[in-house]
Amino acid sequence: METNNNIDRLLAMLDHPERYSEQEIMDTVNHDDETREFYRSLTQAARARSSQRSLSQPVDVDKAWEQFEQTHLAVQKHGHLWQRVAAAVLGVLMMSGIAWATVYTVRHFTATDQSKQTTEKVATPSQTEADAVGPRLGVADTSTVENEAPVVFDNTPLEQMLNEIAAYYGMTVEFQNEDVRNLRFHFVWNKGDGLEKVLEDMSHFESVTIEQTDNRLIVQ
Amino acid sequence: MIHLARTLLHDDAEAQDVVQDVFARLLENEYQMTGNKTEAYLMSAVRNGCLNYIRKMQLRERFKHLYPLDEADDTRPIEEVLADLDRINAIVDDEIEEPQRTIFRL
Repeated sequence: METNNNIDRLLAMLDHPERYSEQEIMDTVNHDDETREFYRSLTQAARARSSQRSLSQPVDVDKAWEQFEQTHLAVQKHGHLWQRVAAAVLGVLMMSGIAWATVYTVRHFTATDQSKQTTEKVATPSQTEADAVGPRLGVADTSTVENEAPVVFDNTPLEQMLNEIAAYYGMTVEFQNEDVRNLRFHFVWNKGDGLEKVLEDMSHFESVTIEQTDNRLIVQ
Repeated sequence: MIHLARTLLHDDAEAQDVVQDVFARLLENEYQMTGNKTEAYLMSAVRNGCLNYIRKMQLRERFKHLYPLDEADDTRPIEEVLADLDRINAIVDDEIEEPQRTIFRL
């Protein structure tokens, strides 16, 4: 009797399952073995009915494949589309990177060339300057060389010799004895030597006496 | 496959979805089916798909659709289950007279 009441309750629940909690449904179904078996029979009967109805409704396989293609293969194509988009984006990024690198490299080298040119331009004046200075330095070098390499006066008139030496040391020459102007001498002049040393060497000349007073060399 | 899904789910649209999902998974995994087990594999996949569908439903919904409420479902071979259902249909056709038969089918 209680089982029948429970089964009635179960059938009422099937009409309006939303009115009952899940716990109430489970309690009713599992109330006793008979009710549980009754529910299982209901599920089997429902399946049997579905099976019979299914057999009476032949499946249109072509239509089913068409639907499958539309849904799932479209999704796959969509996926491929995304892959293509991603590949395109990556490609664009790569090309942008290459372009940027090219621009950067070109700019870098251009800047380097310009700086080189500037350096060269800067260098040019200095070279010009150096060129301008060069002769002097060359002279200086030459003089240095000359300082090192003694000047040999061979059979040279005393006047010419003294003028050259006096000019070098910033002196003037004054001859008190005019007769010695054209006397020729052999003399080796070391420009590195001081004026005193040179005058001392020249004092060995016979009949010539050279005195130094202020900026003048007086030949007696 | 559709027949099995319809039998288990009593719903044509859901049955079609489950079968399509089976093929979709085969495509995704690029599963290569070989030998004569193909049919058994596909049928098992459909049954598992249907049971998963039922399992995800709330208990009240399962009850409403007259689905099994316990997790442990019939593990017998599918052919055996379908044969049982055929027998039930045969009994209904043989034993139940009209108008009860029509009422049952409704």
